[in-house]
Amino acid sequence: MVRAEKRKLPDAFISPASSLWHRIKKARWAYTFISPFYILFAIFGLYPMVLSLYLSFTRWKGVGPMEFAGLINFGLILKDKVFWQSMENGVILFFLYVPVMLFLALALAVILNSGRVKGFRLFRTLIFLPFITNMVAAGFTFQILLEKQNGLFNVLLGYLGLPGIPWLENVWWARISLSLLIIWAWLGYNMVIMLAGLQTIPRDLTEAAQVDGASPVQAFFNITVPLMRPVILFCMITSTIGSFGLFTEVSTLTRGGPVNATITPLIRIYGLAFGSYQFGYASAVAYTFFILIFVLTIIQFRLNREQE
Amino acid sequence: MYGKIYLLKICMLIVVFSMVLSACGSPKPTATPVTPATAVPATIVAATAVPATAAPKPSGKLVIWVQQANQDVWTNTALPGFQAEYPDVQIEFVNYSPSEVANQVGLAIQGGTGVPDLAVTETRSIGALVALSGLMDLTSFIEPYKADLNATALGYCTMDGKIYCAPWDIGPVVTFYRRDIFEAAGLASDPDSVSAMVATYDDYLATCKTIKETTGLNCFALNKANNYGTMLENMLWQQGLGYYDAEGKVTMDAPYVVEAVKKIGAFWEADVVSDSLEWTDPWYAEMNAAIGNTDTPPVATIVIAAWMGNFLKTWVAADQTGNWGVALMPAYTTGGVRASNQGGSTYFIPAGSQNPDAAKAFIEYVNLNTANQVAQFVYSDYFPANKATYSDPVFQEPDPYFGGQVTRAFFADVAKNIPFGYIYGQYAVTMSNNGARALQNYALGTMTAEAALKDAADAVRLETGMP
Repeated sequence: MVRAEKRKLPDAFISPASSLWHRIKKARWAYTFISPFYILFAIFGLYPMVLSLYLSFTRWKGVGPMEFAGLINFGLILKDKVFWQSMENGVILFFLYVPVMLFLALALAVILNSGRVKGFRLFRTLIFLPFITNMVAAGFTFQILLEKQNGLFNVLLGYLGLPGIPWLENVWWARISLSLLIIWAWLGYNMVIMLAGLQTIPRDLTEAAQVDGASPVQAFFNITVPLMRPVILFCMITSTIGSFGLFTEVSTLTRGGPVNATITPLIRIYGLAFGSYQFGYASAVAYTFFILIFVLTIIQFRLNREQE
Repeated sequence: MYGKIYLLKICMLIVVFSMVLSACGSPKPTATPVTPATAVPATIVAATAVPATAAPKPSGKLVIWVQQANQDVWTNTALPGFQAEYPDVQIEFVNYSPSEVANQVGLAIQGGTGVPDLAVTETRSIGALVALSGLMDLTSFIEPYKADLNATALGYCTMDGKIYCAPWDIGPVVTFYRRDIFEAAGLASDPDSVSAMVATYDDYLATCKTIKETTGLNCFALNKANNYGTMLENMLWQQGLGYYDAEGKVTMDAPYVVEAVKKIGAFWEADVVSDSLEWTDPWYAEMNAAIGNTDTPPVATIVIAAWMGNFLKTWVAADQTGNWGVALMPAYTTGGVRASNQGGSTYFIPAGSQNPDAAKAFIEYVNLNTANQVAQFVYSDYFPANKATYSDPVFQEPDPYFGGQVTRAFFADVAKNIPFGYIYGQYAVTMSNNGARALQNYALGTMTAEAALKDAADAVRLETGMP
């Protein structure tokens, strides 16, 4: 037995690599056909990421020699109030729109999935429509709607005898305005994901609960929500990353103002790289941002696992 | 067998390579909104000032990156003449928005490929491109015209004694005012009297208070939350100061900037300004509204560059013909300079231009030729940086929109007094954004002027590496 194992060891040691190479060789045409993606990814994804990592240790304006700067750029980040303000804005925006948006998305998905809604496809399309609307157009339209003096929102408030709201002129209202635009644009996307998730939950479970006397609300919170947890987690993680990575919405609606109340890390990185041509520092900020988001995502995963 | 596989591999390599190349293709140019042109008929002037040279005339393709509005000015004035003079030059226009021209050229310079042969950008943005060291040295080309070009605008083209761009237009700042509102307030409405009434910012404030007390109308628009900092930049520029100094030090938190911010604050404290944001519908409406319009009460003045005259007469305040007048901008202190600059644009040739000869011929014919420049000014009201144009008879023509006032000569007198302001330059956008944010913080009461400017100055120092 021992002898036999000893005799097999070299084979076992060699075989995985050779078998891998054998499998690659065998499926070489399949690999060849999928190679365009990897080649393009290597050129437009991997190479910029690696270069950006290198740049984060340099001072470089986009042309000319790269001056090695060690950890200076990362040291500067600690003093960069605008970057930390942008991170704070990301957190605030997350709490302003993510819970509302995900709850609405789940509620709408449950309603549409209940089988009691006539014109299910029409409503699904209508709710999803904002997602495919050009964000630049939507941003400018919201800007007109939220205009302080003659915007439709304040005109309607005026009809109700209520005072106008400084939607884009006040730090908190500007954040709320931005949240409204994001909810409007992304609700449909999240709803469709929730809808797909709901369709994997057997109807028997809800029906059995209702036979046992559970109300629809109880069935929703005790059956649907727990079973939907992985889908909700997915939506939450993408929304978290989205909160910090907002760009077009901010550029068109608030331009980061007032007083940087809606500036996001992505806007900051873009401004540093393509406004001030500080590619080294911008790369350092980008990597710091990446690490922070990575940690945040892991925390979300852990919290979810603990709850499970 | 191997031959077939080899052939197949080559084919696949070509497919993959072509996909990579297509992904590398330059982005499509974006269409930009057209600035309405003036109703003045275009005057197309034949070439007159092309210097005699033994060299053959340039030919070939000339790729020009420019905003649509500027291209329209050429199309309706000097372009037909250029094409007749240089029939072998084929022009290909690529349109970008005003700020995007510089961004795109900057990226092309950094990428080391894809630069245009010639481009026109805002003077605000040229400093960043000059600092990239990717523009063609035009020193000897500009030399014969140097004395005629506005020294301030040329200053932004110059680095280490070399000239890298050719200014087209500048923005001499004046006070546009509503004659009817001044009269309703019981004030004189002729340009000289109004110039005297706004002799300094303190006088301007006093006049604004009078207008508010007598008519209830606001003096001008000065938004708090999203203020662009234009008034602050004007105040600094007219003193020959700015956000940085001649030694390249950030001065955004210097006492004179704090003082200027507080001077602006006096207008908010006196409650004589509206809160409309520049370049939005309410802002336009306030300039076009009649006295008695309670939904949108009109404003009495606006301190802005001469190019606003064209916007007022063509689309911002087209209903107010004869009611707007032009006076000098306020001085910062009694007897001080009453001239500043806002905006302007400039031609430049990237170092990688494939057809620099045709590009220079274009600049020479369209921009440096006095008669052609005058034609463009008449068509667009883009105030020329070329001082040789100021003696043209069109500068003495009265403007019916401004109640028959001879505005062009007025602008020319202002233009001669514009000092060099440390507002534009390599980090103009960063500085302007931070200056505006400081003013916003001060206006909203979230920070004192000193703290807001210190915060902004620190941000600029961190971002630019300037001391």
